[in-house]
Amino acid sequence: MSGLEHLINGFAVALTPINLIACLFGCFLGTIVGVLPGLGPTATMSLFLPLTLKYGPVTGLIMMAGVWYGAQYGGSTTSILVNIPGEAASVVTCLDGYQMAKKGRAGAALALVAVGSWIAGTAGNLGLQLFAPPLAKAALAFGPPEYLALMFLAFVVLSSLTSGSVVKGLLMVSVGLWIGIIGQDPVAGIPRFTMGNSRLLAGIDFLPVAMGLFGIAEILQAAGQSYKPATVTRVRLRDLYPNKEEVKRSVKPCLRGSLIGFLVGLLPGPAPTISTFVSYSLEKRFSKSPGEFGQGAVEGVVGPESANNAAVTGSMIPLLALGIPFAPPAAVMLASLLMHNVQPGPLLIQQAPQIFWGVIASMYIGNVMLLLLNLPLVGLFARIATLRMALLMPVVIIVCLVGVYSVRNSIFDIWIMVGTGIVGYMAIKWGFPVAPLVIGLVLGPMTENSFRQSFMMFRGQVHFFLGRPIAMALVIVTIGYIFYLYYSRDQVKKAVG
Amino acid sequence: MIPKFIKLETLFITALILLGTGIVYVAVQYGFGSPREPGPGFFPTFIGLLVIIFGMILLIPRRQDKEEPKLFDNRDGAWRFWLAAGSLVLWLLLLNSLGFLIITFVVTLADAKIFKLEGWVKPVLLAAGTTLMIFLLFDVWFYTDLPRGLLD
Repeated sequence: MSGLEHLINGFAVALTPINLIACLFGCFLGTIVGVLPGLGPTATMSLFLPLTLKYGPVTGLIMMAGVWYGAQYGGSTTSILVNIPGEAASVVTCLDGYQMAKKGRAGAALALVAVGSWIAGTAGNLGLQLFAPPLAKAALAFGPPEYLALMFLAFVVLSSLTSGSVVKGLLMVSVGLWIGIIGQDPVAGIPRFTMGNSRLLAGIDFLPVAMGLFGIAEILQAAGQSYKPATVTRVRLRDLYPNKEEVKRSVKPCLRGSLIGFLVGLLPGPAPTISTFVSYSLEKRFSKSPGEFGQGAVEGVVGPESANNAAVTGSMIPLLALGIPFAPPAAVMLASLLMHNVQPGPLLIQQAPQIFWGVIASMYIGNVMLLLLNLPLVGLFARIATLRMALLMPVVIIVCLVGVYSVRNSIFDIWIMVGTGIVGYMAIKWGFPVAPLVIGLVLGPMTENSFRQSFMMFRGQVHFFLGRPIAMALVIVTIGYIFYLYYSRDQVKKAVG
Repeated sequence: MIPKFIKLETLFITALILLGTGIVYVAVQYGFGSPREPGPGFFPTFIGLLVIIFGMILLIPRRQDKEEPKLFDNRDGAWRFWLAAGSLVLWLLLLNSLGFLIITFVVTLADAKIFKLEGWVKPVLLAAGTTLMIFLLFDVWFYTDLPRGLLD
């Protein structure tokens, strides 16, 4: 069956009423989450994880993907109109977006961002559709050493990109890996680190930890902050037309942003956020009038906003082709698949094509939905951004509590969520990134299996690694990256000193 | 009471180092095996050692004069943090005995006041609406068996 036939079948899956509703719901919810500061896509996706139990893996994944890329759309609205970034990936948009709004060009900025995001999302989708299947085919040649080396690289890159201190990131990865292996040993069958508690035999579930770190910790942060009312720039539908000059100046940044976002999406870490910074600095460098940046340059808005949308689709490749999530929202999607006993990885595309192609087709549909949703409803979304925490947080708290309880009817899981929430709050305050912990937790069992199997394959002789070119190349890249980090840190110190 | 010269962040890292030590201690007892045939304690031992090593790296070069990031912006923020955390624990402790409807109403009302929602009409309406909405969503639609407690 050709790629086109697969895609047509994917559309047949995505266009069923339940999947269309899931896509629309996910996109709408994602936009709201993107608009609201505090609650991110990871927490929201975790919150709706129980929903996937009722409707199956395809519907669940379609909805979650909608939340993830919808949040990128929503973030730009408040950055431009209120100067409040709803998402970390929209911080850069505030720089020029709000300046455009002050000049009376808010409508044009919103329209260009929406179209740019749609183009980038669709282009990223095309990339996902073209590159994921061959990568998955190539990954069939991966054995435990290759997977181990890949995860080693992912952990190091993730740790360096999510925190100012690589060591703090690696420490959190290690803790996450440990939490991930609590429970019964897969080979010997003996309970490990369960402290005699039978509830821990099946391991610590991903959901309460993710909800604790991304949901409860955020709520507790909001509890400690004071409320400042925001003023919203009003936009009417007729204001949404950009002029010819603005359109002309937006074309290249949009295309460049799409490419940058897609490539950055392949890296471990908060790809949407990083891609916006890379795109912004690149646009400034390419610009004939760099002095305009920070004063309302349309390139500084369209480029980064296109990049963060393409980055989301790029981030799906490692998850769907290799079964390895490089970002926390991808980890939630992995957890959702595992809850349905679907093993993501190279065989997913062959064994469950309806999932892979159904999600891709839904993303094409979802991007159109977002374009249609975001422009007419821009006023509504801007108003949501000014919603008071006092109204929102009590509801979110109860949804978190009941959401986690509903999965296994377990009070114990809620204790874990509350505990990780409090510890997570402190960790965030002290600069310990929580994303590596979650990724470590999800990949813990897989890392241990690869680790043990590699040692058994090589009969304890580590130098056998030399005979595995892919694994060796990945290890060399990782070591090179560590040296680069060390060298660049020295350079920065010298520059500052 | 913790003496002022000991930083809370240092205590956090020390706790992680102790955790790493505990992981190694327990892992070794599961059976380390050998590199040819790794036992159940093989991987956790490495993980525990990594936790210890990374913790030590963070601990050793710490400059004591460097200002520690504050956990709370002000006294009011600290109070609201602990009250919000307390409301979560309260919900957990009383869910089975009072039942979902009563404890959820009480905790949502308390949280609305903790997050400074003025007056009593809005908080009561918010608490009642949230309780009803969540009950319908999870208990009726998703068939989650939420404890009835006193209302059983």
